[in-house]
Amino acid sequence: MSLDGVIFIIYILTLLMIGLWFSRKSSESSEQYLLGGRSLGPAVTAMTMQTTAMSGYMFMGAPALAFQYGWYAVWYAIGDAGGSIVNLSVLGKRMRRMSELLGALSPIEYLEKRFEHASVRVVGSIISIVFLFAYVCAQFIAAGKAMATLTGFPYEMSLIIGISVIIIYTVAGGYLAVAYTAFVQGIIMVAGVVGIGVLAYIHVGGLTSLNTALGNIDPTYLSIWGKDLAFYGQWGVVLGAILIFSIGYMGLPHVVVRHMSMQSTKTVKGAILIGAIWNQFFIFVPYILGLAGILLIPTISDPEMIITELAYTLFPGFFAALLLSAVMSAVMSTCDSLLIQAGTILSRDVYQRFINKNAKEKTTVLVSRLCILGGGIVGIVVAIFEPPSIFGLAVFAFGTLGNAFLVPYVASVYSKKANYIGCLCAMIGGATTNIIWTSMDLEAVTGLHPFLAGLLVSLIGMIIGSRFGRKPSQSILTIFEQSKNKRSFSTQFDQNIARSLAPEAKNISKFLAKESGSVRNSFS
Amino acid sequence: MSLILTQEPQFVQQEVLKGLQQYDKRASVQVNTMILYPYYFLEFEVSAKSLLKFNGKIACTIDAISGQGAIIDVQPEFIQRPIVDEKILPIEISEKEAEQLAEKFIFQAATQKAKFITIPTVTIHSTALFYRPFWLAEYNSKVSGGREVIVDAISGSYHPL
Repeated sequence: MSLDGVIFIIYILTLLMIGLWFSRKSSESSEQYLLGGRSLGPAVTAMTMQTTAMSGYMFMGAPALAFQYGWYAVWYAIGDAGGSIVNLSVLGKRMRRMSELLGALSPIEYLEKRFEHASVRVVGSIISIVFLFAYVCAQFIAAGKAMATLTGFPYEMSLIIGISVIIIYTVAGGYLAVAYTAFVQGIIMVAGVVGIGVLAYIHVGGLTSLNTALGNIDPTYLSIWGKDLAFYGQWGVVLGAILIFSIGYMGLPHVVVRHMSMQSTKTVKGAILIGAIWNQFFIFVPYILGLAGILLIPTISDPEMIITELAYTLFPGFFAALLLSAVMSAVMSTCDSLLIQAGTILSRDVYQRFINKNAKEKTTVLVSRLCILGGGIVGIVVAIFEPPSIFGLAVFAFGTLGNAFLVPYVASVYSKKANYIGCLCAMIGGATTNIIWTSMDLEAVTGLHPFLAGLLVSLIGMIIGSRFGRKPSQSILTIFEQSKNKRSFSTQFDQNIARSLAPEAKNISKFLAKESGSVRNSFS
Repeated sequence: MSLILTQEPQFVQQEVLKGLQQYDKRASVQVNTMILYPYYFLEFEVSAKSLLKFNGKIACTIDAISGQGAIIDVQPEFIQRPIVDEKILPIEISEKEAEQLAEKFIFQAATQKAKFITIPTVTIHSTALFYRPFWLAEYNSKVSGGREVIVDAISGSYHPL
């Protein structure tokens, strides 16, 4: 094994030791509970949030796209960076108001409550699974490539080693997920990306020189239509590129465990702010590094390895290996949470609802683990025999999600008539169109991005479907009208609302309404 | 007079007022009523095999109205006192139901957050019904009228009604 492989093993062992030490410490404490997730302070929390956002896509997919198409790739970054803004300003206000009134804790629960049918949750969950496995597959390929560089073994063998490490980690290595290990990892990754970014920036002589040099190689690198004007005049493709990440996020499955703090916590706010600033920075840097790669390593055989190659070119080998180890473990922790979510959704929303209603908890855990194992095996087969690009997989995954969920979300607050049949048609129609459009490459024939095609079909599905089936109930119509009211709060006040208190707020509201009703009755 | 188990508020009226007004200085906020919200507190012993043996205590709360579970961080300090002039929400979930819900919730949370090689054994250690204090605040803005807000008197987090 190469020296880099040894560094990787030492890295993983060090993380393990940190994880073990902290979990030992917390289980020894008499007043603190296991899994309680105590507040860690803004710096650690922010860094932990950052490392979960870092994935194989960020390190490999994004720079490869910029390397291939030039500045056109930044369309995707714009959508990614603006995602939360779209969520907040376009849909946000009404949807959040309605979500509060419905007492929903997650987006899928929101849809189920708004459209008043359990099938909405089940179909939504199944579509989420497609996303999760496609995205996991992208991470697997990234893991295989990172391992191949670290160990010097061929890609296929590295892939099997990488995925095996991930599966063992997911099923048995819970200690590594302790926040402090994420903190250490975060520091290495942030230092690495910032370091590579700064050095590459100096090497290419700043953005202006980068653009001049790119223009000299091929002026179309600077075009908004992509290298060789590949997407010239295709607004459908550009619009799809911008929308894909901003909308896809809304369909992300949320299998979050609710927490209740038993002491006052005053650190969360700062963490969110730090996290948001970092996010904006990290969304654009990988794309810029891809552009720098065109100048610095034009002959690279695999553009997905640009950041790694730049690390080996600009830094001493030891640090590059350390960074690559951090990338590998970022991939591991991303995969870990995706696989756990997929396993939980499949075992709870599909197996327990349809196949075995009286399944014991132990059986569902077993089913969930088998799903993870099955997903792993399928992932290995796809990644070895027909590895798609990491970027392609990420776009496909987010596209499927966006197509399934955008129309139902918009209709939930803007259409009184929208009902569960419409919602189901929109979700199934949108997601299926995206899958067919992508797999048959209909974009080349029609000039329409799969995302936009899916959106059209989803919209038609909602309009036609809502003509059939039960109409929305009176209580939903009342909530619909209430959610149209203008918010009474300032933006800052609104942003700090604790969404996890939605069920309590709903129950207190009901209680007070009942109380004032009985007071009125006693006076009349 | 019947006694209830509750938590000592960490945020008094003045602090809540100050906290809410920091986000919107022009709004007028009034904090008048305290509401007591019922939860079951359940403590479990969990043991499983992971890289090392995983043994310890996990605790959660079950909302005694909606049945929602929430993992908690540290051992709460309860006090026993009579109800003074607070509004108190009636319980809708029985202790037995709460125990069943909690066991399921703890099991899922444990397998999701700390992964084990073996299936964990979860045994219930103690159960208690307690009331968490919430402040009911009236939030008035000149631009768009008034709204009611609840503020968790322990954590300081808030949510509109």
